[in-house]
Amino acid sequence: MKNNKKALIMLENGYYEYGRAFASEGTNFSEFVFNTSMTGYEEILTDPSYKGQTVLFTNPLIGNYGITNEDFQSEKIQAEGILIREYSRIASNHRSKIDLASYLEKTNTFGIDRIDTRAFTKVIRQFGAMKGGITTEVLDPVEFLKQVKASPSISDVDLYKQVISDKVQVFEGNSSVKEKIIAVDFGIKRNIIKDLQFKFNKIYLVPFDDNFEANIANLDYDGVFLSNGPGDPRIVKGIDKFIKQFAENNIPLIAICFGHQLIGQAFGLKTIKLPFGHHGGNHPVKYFDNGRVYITAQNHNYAISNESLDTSKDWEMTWVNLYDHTVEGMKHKHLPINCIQFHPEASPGPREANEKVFEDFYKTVAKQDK
Amino acid sequence: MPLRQDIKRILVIGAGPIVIGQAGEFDYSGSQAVKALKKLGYYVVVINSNPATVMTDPEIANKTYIEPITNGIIEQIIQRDKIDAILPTVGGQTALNAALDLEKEGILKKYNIELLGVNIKSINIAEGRREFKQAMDEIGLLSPEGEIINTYEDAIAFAEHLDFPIIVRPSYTLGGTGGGVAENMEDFKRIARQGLDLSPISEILVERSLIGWKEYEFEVMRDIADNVVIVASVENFDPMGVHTGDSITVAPAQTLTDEEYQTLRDYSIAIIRKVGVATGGSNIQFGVNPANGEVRVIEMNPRVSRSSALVSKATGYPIAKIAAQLAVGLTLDEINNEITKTTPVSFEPSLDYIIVKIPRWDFEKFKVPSNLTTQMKSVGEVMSIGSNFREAFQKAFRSLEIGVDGLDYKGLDKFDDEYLINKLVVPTPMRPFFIKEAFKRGMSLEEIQKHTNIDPWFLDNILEIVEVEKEISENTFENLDADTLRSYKLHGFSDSQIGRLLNKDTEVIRAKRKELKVLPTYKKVDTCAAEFEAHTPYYYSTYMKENESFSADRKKIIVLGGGPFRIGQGIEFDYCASQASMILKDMGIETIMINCNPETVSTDYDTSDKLYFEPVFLEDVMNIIDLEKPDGVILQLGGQTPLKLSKALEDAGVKILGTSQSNIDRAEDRGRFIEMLDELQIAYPAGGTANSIEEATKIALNIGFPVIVRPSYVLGGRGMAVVYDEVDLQHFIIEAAKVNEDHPVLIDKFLEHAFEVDVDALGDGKSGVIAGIMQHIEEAGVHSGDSSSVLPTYLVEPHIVDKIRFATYKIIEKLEIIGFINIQFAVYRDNVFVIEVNPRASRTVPFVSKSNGIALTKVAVKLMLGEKISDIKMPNPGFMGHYTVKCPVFSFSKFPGVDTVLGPEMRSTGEVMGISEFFGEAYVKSQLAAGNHLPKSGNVFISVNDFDKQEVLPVARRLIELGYELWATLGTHSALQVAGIKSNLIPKIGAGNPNVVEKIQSGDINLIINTPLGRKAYQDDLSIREAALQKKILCITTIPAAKAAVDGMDWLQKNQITIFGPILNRTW
Repeated sequence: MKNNKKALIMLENGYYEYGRAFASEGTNFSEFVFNTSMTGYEEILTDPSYKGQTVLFTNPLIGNYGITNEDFQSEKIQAEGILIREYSRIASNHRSKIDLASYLEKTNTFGIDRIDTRAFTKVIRQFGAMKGGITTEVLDPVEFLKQVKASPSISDVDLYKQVISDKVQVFEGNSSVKEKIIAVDFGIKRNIIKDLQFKFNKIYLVPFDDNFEANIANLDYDGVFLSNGPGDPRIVKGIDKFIKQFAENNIPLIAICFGHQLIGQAFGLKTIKLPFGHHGGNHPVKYFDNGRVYITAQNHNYAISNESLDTSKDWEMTWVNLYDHTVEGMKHKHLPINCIQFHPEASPGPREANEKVFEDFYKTVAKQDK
Repeated sequence: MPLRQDIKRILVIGAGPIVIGQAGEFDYSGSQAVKALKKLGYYVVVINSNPATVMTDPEIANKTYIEPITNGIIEQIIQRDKIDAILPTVGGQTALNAALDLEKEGILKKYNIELLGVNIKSINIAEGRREFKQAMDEIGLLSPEGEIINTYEDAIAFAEHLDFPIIVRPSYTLGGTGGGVAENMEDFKRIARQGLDLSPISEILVERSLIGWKEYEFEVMRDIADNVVIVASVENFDPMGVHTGDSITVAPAQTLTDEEYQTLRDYSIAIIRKVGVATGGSNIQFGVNPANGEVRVIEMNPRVSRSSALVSKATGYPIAKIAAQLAVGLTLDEINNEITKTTPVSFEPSLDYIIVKIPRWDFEKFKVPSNLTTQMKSVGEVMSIGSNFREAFQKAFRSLEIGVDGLDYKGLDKFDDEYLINKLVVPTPMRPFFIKEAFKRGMSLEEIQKHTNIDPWFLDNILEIVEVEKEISENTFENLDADTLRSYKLHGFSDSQIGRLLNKDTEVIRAKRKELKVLPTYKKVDTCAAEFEAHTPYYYSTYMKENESFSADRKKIIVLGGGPFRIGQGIEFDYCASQASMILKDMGIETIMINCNPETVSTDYDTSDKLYFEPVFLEDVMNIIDLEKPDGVILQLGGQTPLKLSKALEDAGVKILGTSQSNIDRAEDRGRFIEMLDELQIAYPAGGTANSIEEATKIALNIGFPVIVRPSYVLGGRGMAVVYDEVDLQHFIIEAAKVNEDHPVLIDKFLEHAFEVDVDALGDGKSGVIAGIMQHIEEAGVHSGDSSSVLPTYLVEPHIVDKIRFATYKIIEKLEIIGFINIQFAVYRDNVFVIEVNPRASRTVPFVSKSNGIALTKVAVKLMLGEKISDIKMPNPGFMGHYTVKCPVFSFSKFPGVDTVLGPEMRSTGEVMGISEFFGEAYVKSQLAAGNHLPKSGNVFISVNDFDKQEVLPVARRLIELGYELWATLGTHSALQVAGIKSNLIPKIGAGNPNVVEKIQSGDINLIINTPLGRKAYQDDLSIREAALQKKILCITTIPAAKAAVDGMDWLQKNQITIFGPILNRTW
């Protein structure tokens, strides 16, 4: 244990609890979400989609297997902090390289335990994912609540800009196929790249920044993938134009999560904020194509609205969430566009939909490539 | 997929008697399945031979048969009830084997019966060693490297390719006899040779040992559309080498990264698809090398199993119920999660707590070493739920009722280090306590890990308990503040542990805790970690911020369950507690159940209005009472466990429903009890209470040998013996009873050749009604739980029965019994003696209820709520018109070397019932159901002690008349000769060939009548009984049982066994 300081955790609706800061200290503000995955804190913390968020784990015991350094989903910890019931004093796993507390501290990230995480989860469930703050400095709840309320909202910030790389990267893939794709980076998870590598010949990972147009100008590609990423898709500027261009040129589009929402928006579908989001590894999702139910990994606060999809004549739903019947996947009726809301790359979470989705992705791109 | 409309009538096969490895969990799964199918509109018929089950309550299914689970009986049911399909997946191995037999005999085909939830091919793959291994090979998964081998040369050649240690398992020897673990080639050569010699077919399995590897289990569900979900992962505290049923386990798995977890998840799905389980639950076990993560598939159970029950309770996901729904065509996405009401069961539960399961053993009853091995030996288990491992772990120890209030066992400091290390290396039930002791002595985690191979994560948690314990002992009572005390509680420490460390009484700590408002918070078990609103009131305690359980504003009653199953306190009490909940619910009263045994129906979330999965331990019970403020507490339905709390509860001002505490005490306290009997002029065997060996000897000499000796306040005859002389008496007291001021022993005159009568009755505080008078077949001296018994009495003369009735009513009136009472009588030469009175529901309540068709527990509950017997107007329980015979079932085969002779110490694990208009048939059915083979013809070996030489003559005569050939050793042979009964002389061991044991082993003997011959001939006797056990030949050890067996055989020769008809509840 590197630290043992009293901490105050405050949500913007005034719900608070004291806990123990077992890693870094100080004060910070973020959006609070809960995650029901029972394994995979290493992947979750390093997933760029969690930028700007503090993750509350409903699994009470965290840190048990340490940090392996092998299961990272980006180069570093992206989440702002974690809220748990009990941090394990010991990391026990043959792959463990460092304990979680040390790693959090090294990366200046909050780790808070001794929290009634179930009570916290219920607040978020009832009132929605919301702003909050963690502090080891301002232990007066009244004072800190003012600060939390005054802090910027995650919905106002283009968070993806903080997690994307600043240059184009090329990944060699499966040499037995010839299709090459551009992967537009909004904060892509490593495992998505890995899975794309299995299916495509080459992946150009291009960050969505000011140089995007120039960066893709000379690339030879058969399709475009839009990645996952953090924050509110509704405030992303400039991507619609490219999506429309690709579509007009009959370039196949595939996407996961954030990218899926961006595509929908570009075609006039509406994105809504879910009451408390989907964050976990146990959501049942039905694939209409074969009627099967897949248990999936989920991490999103926003979704394409069912209403706008139902009223659209160009789109059809391909996957549906059996918990709340929200859209988990859709394809365009006439154009080669196929996108998925959940996380078929898992990491963490069940991998059973992986093969199905990435094969569909490949077919979407390959069909046009005659 | 839609519900199957082409089938209408489904037969559900139960698991039969409780044996080690197949316990109450199958009553839970069976009754869940029956209820689910009935709700879907099917006509459900149940067969089970075990009357102690909820599943055989006549109100559960449409029709219920308590009959032996045999092809013949099932075929009759198929015909009579026009069965369309059979569900064999919720009744354990028994039901699955019955289904395979029906298939083999062509019965399924003959009546065009479909098996639901299984296909025969998958069973063969999952259960066949070779087939399973090959299936795993085909999907690229590794199983332990092993080979079935028939010659010594092949064994050596194969072993050369394996890493040591290597396990040798001979085929077809009992309990792994002749096998072992070889650490090197020299060991291996010896064990392989021995194994090949001892195996009757010269076959051994040679396998690379995975001892010390981590062990995981995955519980999987699959539907007809091939949707698969993992209900939970389980991680074993004890590494490979200890049977998973004997391992401490936790859920969910704690030390797997997501990557590793998902790999095992993918494997599990691949395995269930490969094996091809039609629909329903399966359980898959993996071994994982802690050094590098290498995975081996150990085995798969293609049906609802023991761990399904545990996992159901651990997650709130009702596996058996869902398995039944899947079996009739529904898919996972079509079934709603009853807890959230809005989401389907096609999901994977997320837990926001940890559960710990600890098995419960009864080794002292079998007088065998308590080593834990790959052969399961536990008789029950507890589960506990907590915020962290320490809290749940200590709570589980409190739940076990082994005299500890946490991870705390007195007196381990007296052992030297060498002994301690041995106890770390060799797994026994005591190992967790020794690990704690090792930490206390300063042994490092690394060293303890080296000795135990237990994962450091678990060990560190134990170390933390040790550290917190030290912290508490260095604190002072005056210094305790709310935060500190709460933190102690969160590590699982009980008030009594804290009190001990601070030199304060438990009550003082409790008062302080309440004063500081350090109260448990109750959290819901909801399958989804609070992601959705939960509608199911299933709670556990922890010390957190928010409490989720509130006392409702209506009349409410708490029912205390019986805690873990153990010998003497089993599934019967789960039946009683569940029945109580049902009747209270019907009466519109809120029912609140407290229990900690996952193998039960009483811990189903829909049995009671509220369920607290908590220890039946004073502190935990009082916490719930403080919160709920119930109108009353029922504690006479859970066996001795809740009854033990009666005084403390009454002292705390809790209203106990039923017989008053003072009268309970009058029945339990020997002195007060005898005073009462004297006053009522009811006879009892002479005896006394001794606080020392000297006193004991004096009493025994005074009343005359033989005497029966037992510690006071016992259940299931623990530590009881019949002794015939002074030397024996002193020997027994020193060895077993450990007499002192706090633990006196009771010495009673042993009434030789008396027979016993058991009475279950009810009282309303003034008058009583007798529910059943059962006659034991075995004579006094055999524990009532181990004796077969007959209802109604079949050989007791009417004037004796009258005396018994008369005494019963007098005792009921005197003790002002409200609810149940059970009285045991001995009938000795025309006199009636009271041996014992239990002011509570007895083990025989379900047996009597089902025999006479009266739901006695429901009557008892009404009486406890103040109704009078005269108001209830139930039919006369004494009038039956048929016989029922209850036969005990033993699990001796799990304990190699155990002596099977019956005595005052109860050792049976389960029971079955036979029912018929004829005593002979009822007896035959009970034997058949118990797995005791009564031969229709053949050779009977008789060897009896001198006391029985006359008694056995009529038995022998009848056997001759029935055409059996008799064999006897010298003494018995001579006695038979003198009486003119023809028998063949057979040599004892060492007196010629073939001797008696060889003759038994060769299969030439079909039945054995062997009453114990006394200490000298003990070894001969033991060999005979061992051989009988091994060859599965019925060995009768008392003359009365032999008489009953002859009645049965007589009947068997002349008649076909027919079903009696469904068990019914008489209405009124």
